[in-house]
Amino acid sequence: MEKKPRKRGQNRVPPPLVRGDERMDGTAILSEFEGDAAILIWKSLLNLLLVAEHPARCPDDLFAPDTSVRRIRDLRAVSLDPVVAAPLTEIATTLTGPGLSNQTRLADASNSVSAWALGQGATGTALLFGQASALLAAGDAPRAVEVGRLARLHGDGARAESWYWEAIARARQAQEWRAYVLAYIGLGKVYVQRGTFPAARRAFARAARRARRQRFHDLYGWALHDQAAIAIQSHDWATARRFVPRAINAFSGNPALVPRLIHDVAFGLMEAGYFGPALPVFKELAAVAFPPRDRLLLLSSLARAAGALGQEEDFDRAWIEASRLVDEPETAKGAAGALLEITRGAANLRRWDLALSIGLRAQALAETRGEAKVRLELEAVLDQVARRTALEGRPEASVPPVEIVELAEDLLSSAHKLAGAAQS
Amino acid sequence: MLGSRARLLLLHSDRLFRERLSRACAGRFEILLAENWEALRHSVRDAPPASPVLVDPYEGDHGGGLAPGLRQLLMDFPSMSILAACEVRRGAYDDLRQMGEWGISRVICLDEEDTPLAIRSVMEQTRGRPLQVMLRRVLPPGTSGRALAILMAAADVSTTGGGAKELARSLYVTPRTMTRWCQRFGLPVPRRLLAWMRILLAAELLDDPGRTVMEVALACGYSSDNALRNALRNFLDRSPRQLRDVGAFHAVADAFEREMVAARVLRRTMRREKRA
Repeated sequence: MEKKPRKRGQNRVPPPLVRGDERMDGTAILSEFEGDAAILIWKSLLNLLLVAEHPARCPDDLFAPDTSVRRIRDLRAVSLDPVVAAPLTEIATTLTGPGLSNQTRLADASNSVSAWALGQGATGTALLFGQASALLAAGDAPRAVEVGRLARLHGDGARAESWYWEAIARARQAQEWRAYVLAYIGLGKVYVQRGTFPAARRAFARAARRARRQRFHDLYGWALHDQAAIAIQSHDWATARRFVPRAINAFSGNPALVPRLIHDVAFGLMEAGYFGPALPVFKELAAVAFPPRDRLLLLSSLARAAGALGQEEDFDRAWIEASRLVDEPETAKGAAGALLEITRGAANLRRWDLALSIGLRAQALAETRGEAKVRLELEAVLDQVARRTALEGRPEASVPPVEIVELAEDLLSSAHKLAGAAQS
Repeated sequence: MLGSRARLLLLHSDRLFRERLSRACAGRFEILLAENWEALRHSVRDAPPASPVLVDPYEGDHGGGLAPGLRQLLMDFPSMSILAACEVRRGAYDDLRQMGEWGISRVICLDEEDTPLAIRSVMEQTRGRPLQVMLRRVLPPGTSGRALAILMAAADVSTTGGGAKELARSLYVTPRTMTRWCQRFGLPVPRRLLAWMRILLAAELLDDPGRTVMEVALACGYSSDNALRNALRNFLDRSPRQLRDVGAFHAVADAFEREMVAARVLRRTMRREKRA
């Protein structure tokens, strides 16, 4: 059923941001791609933006009569990945035909270009086309949520926030509650990144309430998981202990998510310096099957915690398996970050040469993938490795607070159940 | 006064394009055609920031490639919205990318999107762009998305001399809702917000030592240089000269940010008191 677009003024949110600090529209495309392919992608975006601005207009008002013909000819003349050539051709075909009035068709084509660009690591281009898709499909809440996600990936928190609010307004009007919950979860993540924890807590709480009401168990679990994560970051162990079991319970309909949740909470403990309680949880989880990318993440956490506690054998076992996983295509996205953790582990054990070699490998990967945050952290770590300065402390001098011990015991118990189920 | 001298400054020898442009601008802009880059510079210097500038980026006899005059224009007048209109054919990637890096607000692709409606649409969308970009670059990264959206609208509206009503209209809300939004998102009330935008625009022009205070004042819609001086004294307790000495735009941007922070703190305090 065709969704009725939201009329301006009916909802009380400012319009979403549609550009960053670039002057010229489409600059990101010209930075992320080159040559004639870049020109064609850029032109397609401008066309989409013009159509989105004037949805009721006929083609002759917006484009010269032979625009379509010339564009299709140019697309055929340039060597383009067929995956993106198809939607670009669709856009070109629609420009000067009756299809211009079919905004959904254009929005879908724009979405396809966005997905392709993201697959190429071109987050700016992906964001621009995702945005165009959401502008063309006014009223479509899931598309607005996706723009929020793309903006976060691209590092534009303000734009992400504005699009999540837009998604919430659209979702509320269309009663698309799944999009509503996802938008609040996304908004919470933006606030966490910004450090405004009270706003993040409110966003996750709203997500959890609606998810629970609509019986979206998986999303309910994620909202609780994110609330637990804030509690851990704020060292509010008592609150974390309230949320974690509820999150695990919420995921009971989708047990594949539970190991990741347990890992994330244990990682939070480790980040807070509590390696002792975290390590047994990681070791227990190692018996559970994870998809390759998550397994690499687990092994890297295990290696780091083992290193901090002087557990050479545990470190070696984790590193040997991780070093095989790092080269697999499925782990490409998280590999640099995982190697960063393992570098910390090696440095914690004072194995400086090994730490240096892993760290340099991580650096090369982070450069290739444009992972600026990982690169920055690696620089700091490698600097300490070069100076042979200890990174993270050995076992805590004092006993951890009782809430942490209890939280870790909850995690260990859940991890143990999973490991038992995996082995039977 | 901003908006009362709605001029479009043009340097383009394509007659057909000029005809289409005339149709696009009918009733909205007076087109001033320059003969060359030097003449265009003179016109730009006298024009308010709201005046769009439209050029052929290859105009002139300079041995091919992008005109050096274009680069100079963009460097010397960063507060102007400068658009390029040209064919963008295969092989033009380097030039296109270069124009983006230099600061062109938009490229209109001739023979594709140069219908009167398309041209008009592009000009409307880009008019406030320079101030919007400047704002985005100086505001702290943690500025909320919703506040930023309002600021972008305010930058656009103030460039054309619009007031609080126009700001509300541009966001499709009533003036009352506009005021509520400003309070809610830690911004000054609409009238004061637009006054800040005008001061920011003036500050940007003050950073150009080639402009007198009177020229800056008139370009930004103040009735006289005294009106600008009074505004600067009210908002910043500084004179144009004092601002020029320390870098006017950044000084004004800092002061604006401090006022936003104060507004947010006040709002949080009021909420806490209300809850208590």
